[in-house]
Amino acid sequence: MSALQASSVSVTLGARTVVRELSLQIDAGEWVGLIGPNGAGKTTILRTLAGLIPFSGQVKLAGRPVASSTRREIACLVAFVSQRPELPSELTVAEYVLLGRTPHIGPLASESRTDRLCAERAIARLELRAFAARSLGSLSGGERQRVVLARALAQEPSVLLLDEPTSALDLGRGQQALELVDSLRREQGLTVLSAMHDLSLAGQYADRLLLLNRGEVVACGAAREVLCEETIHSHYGANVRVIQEDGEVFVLPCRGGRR
Amino acid sequence: MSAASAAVEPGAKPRAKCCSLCGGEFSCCGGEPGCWCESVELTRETLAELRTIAEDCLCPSCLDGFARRQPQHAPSLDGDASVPSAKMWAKALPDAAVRARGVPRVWGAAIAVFSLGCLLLGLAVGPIGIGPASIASSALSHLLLLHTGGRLSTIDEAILWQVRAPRVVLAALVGGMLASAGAAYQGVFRNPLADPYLLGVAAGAGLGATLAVAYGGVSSSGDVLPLAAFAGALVAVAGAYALARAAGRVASAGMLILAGVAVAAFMTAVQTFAQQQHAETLREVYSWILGGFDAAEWKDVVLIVPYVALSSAVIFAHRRVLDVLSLGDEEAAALGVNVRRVRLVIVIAATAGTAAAVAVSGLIGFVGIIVPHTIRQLVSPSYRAIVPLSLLAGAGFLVGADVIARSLLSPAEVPIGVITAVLGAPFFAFVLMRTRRVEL
Repeated sequence: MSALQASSVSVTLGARTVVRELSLQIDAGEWVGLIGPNGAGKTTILRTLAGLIPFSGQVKLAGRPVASSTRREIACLVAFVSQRPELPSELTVAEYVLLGRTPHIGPLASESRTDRLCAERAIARLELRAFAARSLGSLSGGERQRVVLARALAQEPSVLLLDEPTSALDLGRGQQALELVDSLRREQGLTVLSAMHDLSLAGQYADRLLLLNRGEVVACGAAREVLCEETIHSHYGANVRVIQEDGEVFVLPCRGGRR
Repeated sequence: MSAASAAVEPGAKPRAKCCSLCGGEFSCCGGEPGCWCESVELTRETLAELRTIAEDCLCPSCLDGFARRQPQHAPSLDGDASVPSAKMWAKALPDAAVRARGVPRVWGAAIAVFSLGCLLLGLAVGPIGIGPASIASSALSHLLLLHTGGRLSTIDEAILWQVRAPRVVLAALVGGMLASAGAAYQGVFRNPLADPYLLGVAAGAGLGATLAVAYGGVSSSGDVLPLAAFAGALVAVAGAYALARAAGRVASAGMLILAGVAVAAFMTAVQTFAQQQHAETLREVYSWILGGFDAAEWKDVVLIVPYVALSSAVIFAHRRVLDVLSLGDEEAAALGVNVRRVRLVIVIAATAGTAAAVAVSGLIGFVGIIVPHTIRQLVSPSYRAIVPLSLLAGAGFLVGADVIARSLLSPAEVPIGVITAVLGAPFFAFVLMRTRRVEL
């Protein structure tokens, strides 16, 4: 069954149509990478699928239409990790992860034992036990990313929406974060949709890439189909070399004329 | 149990495993009969708890640690057929590791003592001193309907219960209300400068009072003035909310604050104009605006109790949601919170409570901003602590300030707003100096 299904979804922000007639189907357990130049509508799509902005068309999560679901019902199915999540510096890691349980807790109730245990499991899974009592303000970039993932995991979603998960991280931390997402996906059968800037990383981790430009899907498929020099040049305006080796695709920016 | 398992044929060969908890290697049969973990006795509750988080085995020392945390007197599983053996796949963690900080006991007790002390001081201090023992015996005799007479004369009784008690209770209600409303406003607007008067409550109440005095011939000591002030405050906030919605499609936090500024400026201008037209009312209105409890009566208490009770109950019920809102509107929405509705509910509750407080006591500044911030810096940044402790500390603080206001230049009274600021500002400065950073 498809975990997420969007049919002819359009989003208008102000007077501008940011996403035009998007149709998309993601199977359970699949990782789809959203790529495209700045302003292509990647973040808007993620926010739409998280039920955060109004849209026309239809989005179904696990077969249920988003439009007729409450915010809480959506949040029980989808976790959204924004590019720069707000981390109140005085809150502890444990308290922050516990906030991820919000959709499972009644509006005015407080956490049950199950909620605490679930948060504990998320903390343990992301190897944050030593940090549980630390304040968020004292964490490094890589640690923050793991804490945010732990919060998303505590939410027990079936779909994980990640907006630029590696943008604040160095090469190694970025890779580790993506490996982590990949192993979480395999363990828990998560469906992942992530917007990514680094095309090589996107190609290596996602099962399928969706190239967007000006709110429309211009290419879709496996990394070696989507990531080719002409496509990237025409949509990003970038000069790149694409190297395929051992089934992996590397996109390297280069100076000077094409080829 | 271990004796029985010795007779059972081992189900699986021990193999090296990694402990889910500490990561150390150990040898284990994966919880099959004959595994070492059968010798660890766990209660049904602990087992159920471990199952919830069960993924893999624990090493002996971690499982032992977990077993030791369960209640000692709890019955063991022996003889209970419905529960299998103590097979452990659990990734056990200390239960206390993940827990939201509530109200720390020490701080809760300290603030309760402070507030009770202030209440007692408020009853005891005055031109006629009444000792705490007499107060206690008089209170007891009233409470238990013993009418043993206590140790007080009739006059002292009247002073205590008809003059001081309503004053102290009113000050406590107003102080608690302003402080918890301030905490609520700071939470929903994620703005450290937010106070209960943010959305024009003060300007609206001031305008309502002025119009009532200037054009309605209402006296500042009558019953109508509080109602006019209450109505003015509600009109101001409703106006700010309507303006923010009209301007921004949705009433976002920033839009609401700016709309509040516009409404407050407009209402203050109208108030100034009305006052200038009726200069003779200036004194009357001014004395109300300065605020204070010099005319406090039981009927004032009765007037505001329902508002304070309802409003602080709503704010208290939302304390966890206020923590979620600290992640920002979008994150809170992604976590399933209906941000707009929650904000509206909290603003309505805080506004109604504040308006009622302002109506009976005038405009008392500083309590709503200083008390929640002090709690935030000293105790915890979580609204689970800030909301209840602000309510308690605000009550004590305002009663204490009122004691000083009426005894400093006795028999004259210093405006209580002066006291709250003079006391509060240096203390707040001290708290700020201890603070590393301010963030909401």
